Amino acid sequence: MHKEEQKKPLLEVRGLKTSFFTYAGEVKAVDDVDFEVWPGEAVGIVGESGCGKSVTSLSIMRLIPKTGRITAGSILFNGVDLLKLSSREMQRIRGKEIAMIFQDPMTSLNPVLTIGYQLTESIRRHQRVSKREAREKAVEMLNLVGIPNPADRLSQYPHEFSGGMRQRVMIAMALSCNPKLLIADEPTTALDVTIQAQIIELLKDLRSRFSMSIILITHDLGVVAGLADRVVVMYGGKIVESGNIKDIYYRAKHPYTWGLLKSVPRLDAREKKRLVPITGQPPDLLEPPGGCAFNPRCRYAMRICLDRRPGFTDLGNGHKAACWLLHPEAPKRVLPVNEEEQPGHQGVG
Amino acid sequence: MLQYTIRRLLAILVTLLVIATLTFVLMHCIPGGPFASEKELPPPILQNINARYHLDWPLWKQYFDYLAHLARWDLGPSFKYESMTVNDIINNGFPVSATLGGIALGIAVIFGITAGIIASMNQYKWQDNLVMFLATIGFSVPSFILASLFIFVFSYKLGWLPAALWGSPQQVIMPALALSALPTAFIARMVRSTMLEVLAQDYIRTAWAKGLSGGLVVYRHALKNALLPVFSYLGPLTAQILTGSFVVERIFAIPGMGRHFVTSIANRDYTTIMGVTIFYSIILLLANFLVDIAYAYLDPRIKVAGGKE
Repeated sequence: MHKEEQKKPLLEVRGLKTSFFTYAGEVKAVDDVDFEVWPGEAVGIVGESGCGKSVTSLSIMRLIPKTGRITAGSILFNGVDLLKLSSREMQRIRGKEIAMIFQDPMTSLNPVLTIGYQLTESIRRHQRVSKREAREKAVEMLNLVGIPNPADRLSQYPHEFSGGMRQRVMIAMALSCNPKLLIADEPTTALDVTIQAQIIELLKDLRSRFSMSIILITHDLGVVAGLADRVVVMYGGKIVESGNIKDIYYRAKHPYTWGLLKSVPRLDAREKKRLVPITGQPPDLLEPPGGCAFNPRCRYAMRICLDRRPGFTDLGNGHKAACWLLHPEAPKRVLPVNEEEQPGHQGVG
Repeated sequence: MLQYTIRRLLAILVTLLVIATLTFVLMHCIPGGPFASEKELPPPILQNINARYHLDWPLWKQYFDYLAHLARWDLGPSFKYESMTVNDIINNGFPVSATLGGIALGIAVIFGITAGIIASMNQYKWQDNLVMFLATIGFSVPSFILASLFIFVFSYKLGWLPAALWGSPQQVIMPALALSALPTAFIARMVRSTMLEVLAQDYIRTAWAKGLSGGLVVYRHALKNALLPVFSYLGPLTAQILTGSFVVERIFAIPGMGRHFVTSIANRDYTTIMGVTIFYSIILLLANFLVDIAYAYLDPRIKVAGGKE
């Protein structure tokens, strides 16, 4: 899937900083984030609630809530900086070039408008087609996402659809203008597990059919494994590790990534293993801890972690991590997935 | 739908019966009678009068007699206005009050909704502050002060508008504005808060994410959702405003029916009390019924009971 040599990235996020300005002070929700998405690639952005993954995606769409602002950085889409576009130019990008689906399909569709209206609306907004053609396109899209009797369902309202069906409608809506990039913000979080798998399968299938790139935002590494080529792990508004899916799953180097991996149930575990939670709370972004943001929760934290923010260490093949453990002088630690857990061994070092 | 309509209309009839009964009982609980305030009448004359209006009958007989007439929409003669029936009072007064009230209602709906939208689109900016300032004034200044102020400024000082009476379009302006101030303020505040709530919903973010313009997002996606609560307020408001205001009609000397709600009680004008109360109830119940029907059309999640797809 990597075509770095011949092609330019579809999306390049450089030094992105997004802050929310509250009475209590500035909350740096996204703090100096760099990543890119190549044509046809699926990138998973993973992290706990409040790590800045959703704000990153909303920044790309320029749909940050009013209290927030992008304070620095650039977002190059096909070489054009989205942050420099007028709001009218941005409207032409949204829905047409970059489409987005959201976490909660129960509330993401307008309850008082028909599914047909909501579908044809974006088609007619971005393509010069008649009402009838838009309707045909809507039927075709609903068919594609696996909704039975699509023509009959156009006149129905969102409350007449189940959660999984609504998410399918959202996907149909997002893909109706052939976007080059689909941002899926926790698309399966609000759904039953069986429906989750169906939606992921559907996204996988549509991705190749539409040859589009996907940014998949989730806290669930299992969901990422099903779809993504590359994973970006975020913590406290910063990227802590990124790499292709195999490197992240088998050769993770950041203790936070280890924590995430161990908190996911595995079917292929050889023996019965307890899930290990990451103790403590995500950092308070109003007053982030000094040094590495993860240090209060990291069982490998060293003195330097409290004082200085680690830079990225290049681990080859596009895999990089920001952790002092990777410094040549640091003690060697290995991915503790196969290591026997010892209860009570969780204090800060 | 038909089934629902019939059921609702039956319910309205039952409600009216309850209201008529309660009003009748309460009215007769108040001490005094229609002719108590006049100068001492000689007993034979009082007897004659009582006999003429059947006030010498036992109460239960009066009650059923009244219901029998009510069923034929015969509201009986007024005790106070000789040679006038309560039907006449309503027929004369209601068109005036309804015209004035209808205009005031229109002003309240149009300006209230517009102001509310503008305020919500510019939250905490000067437009919002201005609207909320005006709404607070509209809320807190009573209509009689507003009406007096209008007369003082526009009639007495500037001489632009006639100070009172009814008949020409110019005579509608000031009473309509005075009457609409409170509902306008109320609607503006309501629309502002519901719009702010709706604009923060997920489906509004979806609409933005589709690349829609701000206008489309507001008018197509937000407004309909935001106006639903306003609709439920319109039922009682319509009934109240169409049947006239005692204060405003008094100040502008408008021959509407608003005054009868107050004077009939002071006069113990039994038939008028019953008549205007029942008439008000009918308007209120019908307005609420129409609002409920409209609701079912506006909000697809609401299914009218017994209705079919």
